Amino acid sequence: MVKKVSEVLILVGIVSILGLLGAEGAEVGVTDSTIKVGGVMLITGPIARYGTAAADGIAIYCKYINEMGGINGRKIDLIMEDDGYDPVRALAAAKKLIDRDRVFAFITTSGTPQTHQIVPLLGKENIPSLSGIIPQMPVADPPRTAFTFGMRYGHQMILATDYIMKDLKAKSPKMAILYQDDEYGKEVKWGALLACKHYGLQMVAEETYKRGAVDFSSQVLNLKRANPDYVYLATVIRETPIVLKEATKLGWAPVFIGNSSYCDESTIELSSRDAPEVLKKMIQVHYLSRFFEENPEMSQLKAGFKKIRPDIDTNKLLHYHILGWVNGLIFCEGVKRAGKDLTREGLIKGWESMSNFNTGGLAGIISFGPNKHFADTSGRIFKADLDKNIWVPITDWRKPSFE
Amino acid sequence: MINGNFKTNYEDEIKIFQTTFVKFWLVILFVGLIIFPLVADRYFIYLCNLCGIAIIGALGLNILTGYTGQISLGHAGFLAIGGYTSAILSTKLGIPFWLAMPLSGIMAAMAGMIVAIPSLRLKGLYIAITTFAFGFIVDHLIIHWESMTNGPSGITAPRPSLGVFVFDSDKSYYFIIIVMVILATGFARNLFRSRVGRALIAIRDRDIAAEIIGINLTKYKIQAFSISSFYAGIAGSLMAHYFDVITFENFTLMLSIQYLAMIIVGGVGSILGSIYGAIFITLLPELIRLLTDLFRQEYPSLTTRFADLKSVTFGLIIIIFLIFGPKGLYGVWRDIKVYWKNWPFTY
Amino acid sequence: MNESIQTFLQLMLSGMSIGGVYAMVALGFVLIYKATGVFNFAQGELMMVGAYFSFYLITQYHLHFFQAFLLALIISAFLGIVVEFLILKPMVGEPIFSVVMITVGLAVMLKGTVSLVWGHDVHQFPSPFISSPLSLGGVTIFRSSFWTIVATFALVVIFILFFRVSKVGIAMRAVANDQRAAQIIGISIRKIFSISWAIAAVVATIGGFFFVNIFFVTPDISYIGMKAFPAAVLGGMDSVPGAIIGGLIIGIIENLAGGYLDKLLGGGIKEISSFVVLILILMIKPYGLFGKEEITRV
Repeated sequence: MVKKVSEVLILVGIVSILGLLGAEGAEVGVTDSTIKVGGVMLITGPIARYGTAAADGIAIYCKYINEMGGINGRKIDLIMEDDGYDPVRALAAAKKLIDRDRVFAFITTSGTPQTHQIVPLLGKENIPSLSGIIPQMPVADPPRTAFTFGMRYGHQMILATDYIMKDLKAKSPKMAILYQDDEYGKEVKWGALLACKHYGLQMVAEETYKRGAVDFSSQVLNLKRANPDYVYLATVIRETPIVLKEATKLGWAPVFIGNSSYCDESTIELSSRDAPEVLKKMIQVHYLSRFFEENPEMSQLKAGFKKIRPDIDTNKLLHYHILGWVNGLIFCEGVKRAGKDLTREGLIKGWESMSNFNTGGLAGIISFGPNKHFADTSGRIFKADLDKNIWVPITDWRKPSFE
Repeated sequence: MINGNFKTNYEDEIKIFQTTFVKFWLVILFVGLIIFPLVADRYFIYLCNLCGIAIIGALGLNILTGYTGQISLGHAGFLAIGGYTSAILSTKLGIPFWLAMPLSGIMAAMAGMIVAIPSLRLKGLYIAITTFAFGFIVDHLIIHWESMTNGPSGITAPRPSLGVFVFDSDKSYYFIIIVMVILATGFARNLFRSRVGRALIAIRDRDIAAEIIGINLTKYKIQAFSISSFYAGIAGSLMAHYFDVITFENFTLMLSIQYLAMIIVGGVGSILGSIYGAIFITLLPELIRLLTDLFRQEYPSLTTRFADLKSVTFGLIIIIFLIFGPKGLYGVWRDIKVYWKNWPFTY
Repeated sequence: MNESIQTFLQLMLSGMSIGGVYAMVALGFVLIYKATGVFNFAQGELMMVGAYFSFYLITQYHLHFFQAFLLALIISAFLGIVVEFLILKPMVGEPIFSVVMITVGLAVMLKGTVSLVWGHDVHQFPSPFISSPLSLGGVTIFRSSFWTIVATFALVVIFILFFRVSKVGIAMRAVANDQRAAQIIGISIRKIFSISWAIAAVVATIGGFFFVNIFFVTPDISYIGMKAFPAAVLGGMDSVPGAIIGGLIIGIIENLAGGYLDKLLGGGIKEISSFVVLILILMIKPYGLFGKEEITRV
């Protein structure tokens, strides 16, 4: 017992000394030549494919800017922490970045549950943060330091309904929804219900599934029995093709409405063999431009990627790569506007002054404002091109007709 | 040098503080714990708080699994019930934390009693499967009982306050946790000096024999379940008020497995073991992160494998401890102590 | 055909399709439990690993379908033996808690290793079955699901024969019945334990092979293992036909619950129904439908 206790004491001693060393006073994260920026990223875990792409996008942009001379003479020192899609790890990572690395600001946040866990903390600490990986309001009552851009999943559903009603001129179509029973599914459902209410449409079936579930046969059968013309899908990478296959199995081909979370070429790869008919009819909404499109910022992006990470094939970029790049773009614009005398308050003011900021074609127009910390951009409708295995835009950039 | 602590009567054997030395070092430890938050930085305090919450939960699980021999794969479910009860009571009814926390413990204990019912008929494996299913059912209720739990969005529970003072910082919350850890450890230690605790151990070792010597199995098994889940409820409540928001994602099957790993690593059926194990498993990701940081330059691909590396290490640690150190860190420590005590005359 | 009858039949058939996979995983549980008395929590992970083996043999080494399938079976049999030797062998005679937990540790480790080596990406399995579904009088089924059900029943017949006729099978039954007596008459218990792990891994791989034809290759498919618990318990933990029937019934219950109850009770009932059934079975008839009434009561 004696030795046990003494061992604990020694540990406590070491811990305390380390603590003292770590707590030296300094200007938070900004020197004359560098700015320390922290990022809690989703580098590992079940949807690491997207998380690493976003992290790469941000890191490459920061390096690119540093090579061009930095912002106002300062280079960006980006420190990334992984959360492995675990909210508790995300909180730990955020605290580490704040207390150990003493970062000036946060550039991106992670998946929905993780964002939920850390955004209140950033608000309490008064640390400005910009996130774009989850296009949805991070928390019900976001703190004034939190900035987000993108298009909420709910608004994407409204945009899709606008397209159906105005462009396709559907005559009172019947709608249905299949959603994952978490925060993401809830957000999509919110938008879908709002859109149906606005247009006076009937939601004939609402089906749900648990995250991780593999079998969707009864859900798809229930949807089919209600016989809707359009089905909102709040599913993710693996579930979407399974649902399309199930529908094909039942000989049923409604129009499925997808959203940006899985508007990815892998959806086409995984379902083009077994469910081509349903896939051809499917429509997707997204708020970023795609890698094969030509615009000024896209060529810069590709140049940057080729220069810094030649191992990434620019003909296979995910939209999350582009999202990361746009994230970096907006972040740096805010820092630039905050001026030579960089403070946290200045960065918040800098972002707030960004109205009608043009991303050079990568995304729609970004507009923040003093009371507007969520820049709702515009989006487009996409359809699958089965020959080239890509999603191609079929409309121009537009905003939902109401909110 | 102490040669040994030889007991001459039964009172000595069940003393809480076995020697004056122990008392002395405990006082030092206590002072150290008080001073610690004043000198450590906030990240350390945060990790320390996580350890504290884990210690309470692990003690609870050790009472049920380590001492009574009932395997629980649904510990996260009890933590969830505790956390959500506390959060709901304090947000919807405005009940202060000081009342909500014990109530959440009681709520979890009642759930524990319900789960105990099948365990009266079954043993061993089957109780593991029942608790496993229980974890899933709690998960389902949290997600789908939206009016109560706010569904997948989770609940934000307020930080506790005393008069005008709000326990808002990690440092102040540390003191609440440390008080609860001391209470929990003290109670657990006392429990196994009492009739109840000894009865639980008897049930684990041989339930039929225990029944023959007059231990009421029904009563004591239910008691073990309710005490264990009471602990889990308290830990859940501390978690709910500490994290700014709790959702069902905080209480996965993985959490139950983590708690089991804690008692395996620390020492099954040992109070100190629960503490060691809780600290070890809580700090394990931190350790792996430090290691991957070291190799980040040479093998950049390692960092992108952090979560997978974590689960591999985690599984390996469970397996290695079960095969090579079934008594856990506590047993290892005791063996080392014995070795040095007799050195150089070890054989 | 009446529409509601058609719906019912479709739900039954879909339930049997997924139930067939549950059955194969549950069969693995039962085989190990029957012979060694260990409840293997890593059975779902063994299935996932087996699926990855067949997938990589086909895509990476460009083997033919059946070659890859057979090779995957051999590799997983070997994996089963290695796991038994390295992990289960040292645990003989340890308390039940340790033995259960070691399989939990194994599950976590296997899943972590597969994600570490092959990543989390979702892959399409180069299926040998024609993708157009099979129509059976108004109700439809994936061709691979149809063959899953056929294979499930084939496995029951094979294993019943195996336990009745073959020497190893009879030895396994003897060991399950009374280890000491079996040893006395010259059966090597060690060998039997290895063989039962090998067979369980092979059965899991067959299940995985059929499963990924529809549901893609990703580490997350080990989730199926959790659904196989209720199947094994329902059928009776030590009954081979019980595991198969239990699996099919659980699949059907899930789909009927999803089809009819989900709407009434506000969603999510499908996923939870099997666990509710599990708890009910344990409370009412803990030895399942076909299990031996050998549970010690206290």
